[in-house]
Amino acid sequence: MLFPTTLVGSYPQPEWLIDRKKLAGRFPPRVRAKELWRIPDALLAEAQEDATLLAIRAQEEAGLDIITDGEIRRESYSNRFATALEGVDTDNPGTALDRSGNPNPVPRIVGKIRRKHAVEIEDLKFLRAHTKKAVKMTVPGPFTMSQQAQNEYYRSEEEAAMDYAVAVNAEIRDLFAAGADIVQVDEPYMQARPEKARRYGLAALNRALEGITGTTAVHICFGYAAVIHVRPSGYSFLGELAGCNCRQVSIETAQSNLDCSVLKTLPGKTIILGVIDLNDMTVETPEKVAARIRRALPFVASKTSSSRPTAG
Amino acid sequence: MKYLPREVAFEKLKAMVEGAKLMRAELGQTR
Repeated sequence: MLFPTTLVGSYPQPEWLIDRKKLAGRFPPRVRAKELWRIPDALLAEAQEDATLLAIRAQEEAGLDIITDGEIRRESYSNRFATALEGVDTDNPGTALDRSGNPNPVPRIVGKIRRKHAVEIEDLKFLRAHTKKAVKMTVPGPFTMSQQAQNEYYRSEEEAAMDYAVAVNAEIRDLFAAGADIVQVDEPYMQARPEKARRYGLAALNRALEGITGTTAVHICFGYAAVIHVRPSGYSFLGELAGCNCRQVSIETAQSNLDCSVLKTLPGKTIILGVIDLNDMTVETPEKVAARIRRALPFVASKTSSSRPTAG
Repeated sequence: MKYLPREVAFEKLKAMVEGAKLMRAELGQTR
């Protein structure tokens, strides 16, 4: 199909499930933020499933082609996975600078990072059971997780990133085995910290994708529109992803007014084109969306690119 | 989209789907 549509990030969680004002009033959680949920612990998982069903149905009703779980169960795109790993202390967190430059509590790495158990597989199975459409799951990338941690164990951040990569690789394998059609690896910090991304981030990302035969995508972006207000018109780290083992690259182009000619640097990759501006509460007209797709077409090798929103 | 009001997010998704349809039609016609 030409231009299949999908959500790149999360779908809004219901107000009855999470305190949306509190969530929006702080930096995205890197450790747990249980106080955000409105539902008592004993009922939270059931409430999250019910809200996930609403997100699935909303995507179907809107007519999307590839459905996600909306990341409804997550406090942020990365912390459900990052805080489930062995080797990190989240009860006594460390501190790391957010991409905005502000300190944020993060997992403190105190031992070898290892995936103790599958993290998102039950989420995927629930999604698979509740839609007949193709399904996609997102996992945080190893480079981004290494930047959202305080390392007190490894000799270098690079070593930490490589062990995060081993954990992500195991998760991706399990997600495909359990029926995922696409797995998207979120690596927003590659754009935020391009030198480190060049030095070891790409190697870590490729380790995370090693031996994977299913359809994988990598998403990079300029940060949440609601949090990061300066939107440059070009990427600091994008062409480098030509050397990534993923099949698809997902970028935002609507809110950053990106010069689409940069897409020429990614021959052979399917482009997931972000066409929705999350910084603008005005709903785009279909013509506006079409214009954003049209703008990218001269720079992609074939007309099989996808039209998709950048979402947070 | 988590920071958007749900109604806005939903309408934006619908607009995206309609926009993609427009482009499919446009490219179909020019082939």
